[in-house]
Amino acid sequence: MTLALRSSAHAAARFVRCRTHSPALGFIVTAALCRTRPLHTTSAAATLTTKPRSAPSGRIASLYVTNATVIRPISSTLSRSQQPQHDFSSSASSSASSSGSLPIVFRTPMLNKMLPKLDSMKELHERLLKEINDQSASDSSLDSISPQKFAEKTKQLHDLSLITDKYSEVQSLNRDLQSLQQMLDDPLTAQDKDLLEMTQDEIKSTTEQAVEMENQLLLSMLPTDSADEANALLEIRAGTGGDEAGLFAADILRMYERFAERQRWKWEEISKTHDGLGAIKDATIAITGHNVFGQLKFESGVHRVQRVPATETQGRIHTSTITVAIMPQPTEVQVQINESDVRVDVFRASGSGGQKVNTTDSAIRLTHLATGIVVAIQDERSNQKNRAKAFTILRAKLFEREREKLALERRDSRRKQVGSGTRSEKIRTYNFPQNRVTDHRINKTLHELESMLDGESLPEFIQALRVEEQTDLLMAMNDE
Amino acid sequence: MRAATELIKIWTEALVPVCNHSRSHAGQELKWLMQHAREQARLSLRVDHHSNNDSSSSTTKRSGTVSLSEREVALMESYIDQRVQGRKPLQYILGTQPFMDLEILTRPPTLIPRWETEEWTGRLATMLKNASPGPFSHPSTNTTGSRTSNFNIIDICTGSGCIPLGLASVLPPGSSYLVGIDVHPKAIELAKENKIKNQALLRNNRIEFHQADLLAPDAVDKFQRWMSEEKGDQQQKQQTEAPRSGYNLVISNPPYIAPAEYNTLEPEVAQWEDPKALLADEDGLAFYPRIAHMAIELLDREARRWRNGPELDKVRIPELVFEIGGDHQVDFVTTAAKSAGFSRVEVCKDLADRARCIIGAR
Repeated sequence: MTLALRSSAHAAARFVRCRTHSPALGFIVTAALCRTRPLHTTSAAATLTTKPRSAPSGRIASLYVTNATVIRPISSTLSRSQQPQHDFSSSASSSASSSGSLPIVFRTPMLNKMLPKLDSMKELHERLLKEINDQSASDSSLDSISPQKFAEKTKQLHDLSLITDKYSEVQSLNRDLQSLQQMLDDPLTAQDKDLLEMTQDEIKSTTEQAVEMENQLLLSMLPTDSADEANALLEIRAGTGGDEAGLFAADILRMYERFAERQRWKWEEISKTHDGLGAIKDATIAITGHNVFGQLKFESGVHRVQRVPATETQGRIHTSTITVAIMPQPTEVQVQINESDVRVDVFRASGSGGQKVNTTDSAIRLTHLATGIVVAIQDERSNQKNRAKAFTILRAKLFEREREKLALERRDSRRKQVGSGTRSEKIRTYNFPQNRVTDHRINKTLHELESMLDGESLPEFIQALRVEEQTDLLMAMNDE
Repeated sequence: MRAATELIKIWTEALVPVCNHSRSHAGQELKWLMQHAREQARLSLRVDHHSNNDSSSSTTKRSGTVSLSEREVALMESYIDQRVQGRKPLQYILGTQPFMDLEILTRPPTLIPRWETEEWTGRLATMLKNASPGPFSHPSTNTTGSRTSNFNIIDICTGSGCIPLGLASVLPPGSSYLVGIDVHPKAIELAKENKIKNQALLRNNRIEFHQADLLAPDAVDKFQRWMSEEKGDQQQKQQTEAPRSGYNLVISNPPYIAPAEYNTLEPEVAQWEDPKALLADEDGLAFYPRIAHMAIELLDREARRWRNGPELDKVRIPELVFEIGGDHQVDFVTTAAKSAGFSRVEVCKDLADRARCIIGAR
């Protein structure tokens, strides 16, 4: 039990590390991770400091003291439920003395739950590998498997091996640790001071490796959002606050443009309504590149600005808001729109049009009849171009609608996740007088507004939000 | 900076009357004019070898403050004056009009491509592309590049050349030979410039523009000669190709405005565009019977496969495409096409739900 508790605390420490500004939330996460055994939360903390000192096996105890937060009991023949609760050190040393091939026990309790799953994955991996090898060996049998099937299997094998390779690595590190432990327990080793130290060092570094590998294994098992790699549409709308909101919308638009430049993403303005004086009513941008949606998806929500507007004569601080929406851009295959489901409206001159009229009004309005979604574009001088852009946006909106529906279904059985909040959620405040940016979801504050608005500090938030998301996902996995 | 915001307000207001009294549309025209002014200012700077770029070109700083250089303001003042007082079409001021994926040069007095034309040309191009590799060629032999074209298309009254250029940008690479005809030398000159300007997007399809009068007695002979010369060229390359007698698609967007309607036209059209590209006698219908009859002579007599198909009463792939002036011309043009020898004739509507094209097949 102690073992499990330590691991929980450790896991929490890892995932909360980037949230130094968020002690409250950090606590919640830790508690949640430990909550299957809440009674022991305090004793776990005590164990970390006091137990090793009183441990009968002094040689190992010193290890535990120096690396209390990293090192945990290195091996055990016992499954978690059988774990003696009083003294893990003695159990570790006693178990290590019993040799042979030992069942794996992870340092990360969540992984222990997934042991059956991991084993079946490994099994499937081996089976697939064999099938594919057999296939390649007897490639003359053309009728046995279609190329698509073969490609599918290869892809499946590849995806699986991302997990099973790490699993094998953890297993092999555990075997190393077992033999090291045996060495340590050997009375002959105790007599040789150099050998003893070497073994202890080796145990320490191998344990660190194993912990790191376990974490990688856990992360590789997290469900991935297939849309992460997709290109995205960025939509910015000025909200409350009049012109000031419009000016702030322009600032935020610039922030994302700079960020996109740094990422070497392609930035294509689809539509922008502005007053010609720098304020933006709304803007839609198509961003193309590597992992665009995965990086920007946390940006959806209400962004708030607090500052003295340029037009304010009495120096009062105004609060305005804008709304940011990030939508993955589906391929034409993912979302197919039947043209008969869409009403297309164009500028209609009086008279019969054609050669008689030379209009420059190229506005297009699409109405998706089934959903009532309306997309209007007038930026391009050709209504065919506006039409194409409007269809791109409509496609993304329909895709987003589907995703939201799916997410809602899923969310019923799972805690709310970061990035899946509604558009109306206030996510961030940009406070100019205090030169700070605060993300309310993770309580993270940066005192570098200028570099934030230059797109330079955005990755810090993205990174922290991703960690938050992973923590959420881990918690959800733990619940299941 | 104050001056810039003031100017932008003044200019927008000035544009409202020439933008269907829509402020939002005036904002769009202003945006396009300012982009153009910015480009031109930068361009002239480069020509003048001025080095101090920052002080002379406008910049948008944080929080959206806009500043305009003196040069930009001068250009803008001139554009607004031309647009509002001179009623010069925006496309003539900017010098271009997007057409499908191309940028078509626009210069008085050649007709500015209309959105209706762009729309149906795009649809026609997709239709032809989907019919490819076409009636005359097998896909496996087409990859050699030496085989004759799938599509031999002639556009009569081509103006800026937008229709054949637009088609070429969509049809399979190297699949087509397109000829554009116009009576106005200035139109042909502009069409040739447009071909050069858009060369990279024409997918190796061959395009030629010729000045010719479709009313001249030898017009059909001339048009056919351009085809057979082309065919001759190709036969030298590819001896095995069976000789063919002509085009497989005739397109025309002829003048179709009745002279009586001339004084109802907006100034942008009446004062700036070539009346010869707009007006036709007999209530705007004078050219259709003539072109329909020419088309029958120009079309490849052997090309039966165009017509084969389960739905014999339907136009699967057109051999004749006319742009028309609207619903009021449908009956006359349909009859003209039928009496010339096109047995199947259909009407196509544009996005504004007006009859815009008559398409026919023999």
